[in-house]
Amino acid sequence: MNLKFDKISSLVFFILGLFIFLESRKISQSTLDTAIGPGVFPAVIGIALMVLSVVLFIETIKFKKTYKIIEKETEKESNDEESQSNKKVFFIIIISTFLYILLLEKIGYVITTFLFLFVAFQTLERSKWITSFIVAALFTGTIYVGFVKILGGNLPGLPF
Amino acid sequence: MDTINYLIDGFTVALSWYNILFALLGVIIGTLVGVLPGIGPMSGVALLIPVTATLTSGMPLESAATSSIILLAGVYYGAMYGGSTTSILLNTPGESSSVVTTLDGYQMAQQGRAGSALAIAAIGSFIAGIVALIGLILLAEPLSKLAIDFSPADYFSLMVLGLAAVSGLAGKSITKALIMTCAGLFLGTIGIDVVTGVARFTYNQSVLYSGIEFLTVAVGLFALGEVFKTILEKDYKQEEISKINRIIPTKEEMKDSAAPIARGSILGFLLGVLPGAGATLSSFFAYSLEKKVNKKRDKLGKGYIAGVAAPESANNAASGGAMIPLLTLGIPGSGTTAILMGALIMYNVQPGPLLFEEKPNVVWGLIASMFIGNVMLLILNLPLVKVFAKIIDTPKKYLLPIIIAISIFGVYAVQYTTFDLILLLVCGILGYLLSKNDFPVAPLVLALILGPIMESNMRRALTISNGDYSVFIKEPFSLAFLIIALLWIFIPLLLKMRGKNVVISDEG
Repeated sequence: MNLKFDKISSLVFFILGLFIFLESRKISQSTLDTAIGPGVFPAVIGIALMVLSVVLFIETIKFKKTYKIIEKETEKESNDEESQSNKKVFFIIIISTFLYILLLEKIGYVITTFLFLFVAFQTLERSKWITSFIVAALFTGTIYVGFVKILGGNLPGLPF
Repeated sequence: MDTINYLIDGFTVALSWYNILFALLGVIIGTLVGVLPGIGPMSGVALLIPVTATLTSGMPLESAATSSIILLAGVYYGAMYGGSTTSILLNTPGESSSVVTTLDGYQMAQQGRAGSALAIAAIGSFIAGIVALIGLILLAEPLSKLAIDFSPADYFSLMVLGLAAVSGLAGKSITKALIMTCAGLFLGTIGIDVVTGVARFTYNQSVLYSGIEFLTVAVGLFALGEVFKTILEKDYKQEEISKINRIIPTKEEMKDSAAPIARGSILGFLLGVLPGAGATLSSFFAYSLEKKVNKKRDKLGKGYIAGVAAPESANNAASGGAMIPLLTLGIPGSGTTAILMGALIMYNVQPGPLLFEEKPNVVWGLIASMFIGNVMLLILNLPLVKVFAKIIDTPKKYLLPIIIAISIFGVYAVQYTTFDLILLLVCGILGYLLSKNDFPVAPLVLALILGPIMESNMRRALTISNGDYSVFIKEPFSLAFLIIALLWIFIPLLLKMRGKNVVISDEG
């Protein structure tokens, strides 16, 4: 439980609800006059989301004390060195996943997958690079050959 | 008589060589999913959908659907078998449905009786699987006959009930669960409206016209979310594994576990049929039932075999029971069955009462294959339990990036767009943040799948009634479903206000 997260998320969901409600009004106006248009269901969801976010916000104020106690306990854990290095690892993994996704169609499945796996293995635990190299190559090869050559699937293979 | 004929037909389908192969593949992968912490049944099934889609791509649509669902269901109940292994050997449950098994299972392992615990878990799971299947066969026909007369209004309310049940039990805060449900319903409305052809929330982005793909969202929220959680909480150290000596339980252990297996199977089945309850809750209830009625209840918690037998039977029976509302009513009661439903819809097979009439081969083939799959699991698990235990040793250093790579491969192989891959990553990060802050993600996926069906039933009902909203409370079935839905949300709330501890299901 995190007071800040819950407060912000209640705000975000309220705005989302409002957005859905307003946008759905536009949909219903633009169609033929039937008993129930395509905008009604989203409008109901939008209203429900706004109501629920208000409830959540009230809850965060009501249970402030409980939140504070829990926060104090978790604070101790999250400030040590280990969790800082975990965060670093996490960001490297996220960034390499993002690059992997963006480059997949550009330079093909084989190179990107191999590089992503090799980098990720070594980021999680720096050990003998040769094992990481072999595992990454084996995985990439098995998926590519199995999927494309044997099962006849479609993947962007190599850039050349 | 009909039922028996259908069942025989089902066995002809399930016993074809490739379907046996699919079932075998499913249960083996399921056991692995169960054994490996970090992949649960939900992400396991979601990850395998693209693989099965490729494997079955050459077949006619209906048999492709049958074979896929045979494999995917195998993963689901296979995971229930495998989940106990890590609970017993490592004291870390592979699935949330095996959490209680650690209490007595790990104690037994410490006393050098790991083998018996594993064997009883497998035997109990087998018996429970068969009990659930018999229940499924007996209830399927009457339930689908009843449901076939449901009007659109009844259906709409039934889906409201399904969503309410899952939200009411899904997490620490019902408000948050309901918010997630609404978010899922909203995501389901994105794309071209099937009734009028109007584009909703698409903003001229062509990737949005076909809607948000449930597979991408499910894999992102569950599989990637779980991976990110493991990385951030540095949960990937290797642990000491208990040794397995003999795998055949003693006569006394067999005698002690017979009654708990029977109780666990029946309780688990009944809870499995209810939407929202699921495997995790049923294993908790089975354990607390033993605490009340078992003659040697004082030994529970100190390595007593009944503490393994009851919850392991219950979670398996529940996974079988959960197939009933899915197949007969088209209402998935949990995250995993929601994903199975999504897979069926991908093959143009709409679960629900008509399924039994229109596509008997799919349903009965699946039911028959579950018999075969359970036998396979028993045969595989007893002698191979040592092999499966070795798999726990797979370093997470390799496992985690490979899960990411499989997710990306899976989503890309079905969708072929970079947009879906970015959505996948975003869902992964959101999945971690949301579940860390007690926003349960299972209701979102369920709502995403049910939303479009729910909306079309709502609109049909209102078209019939000329826009009169009271139709939902005028029809008796519909009214009953809505009342139960309300109770499902408000009873836990009332209990909480009175300061009672409410058991929740975090498996979804």
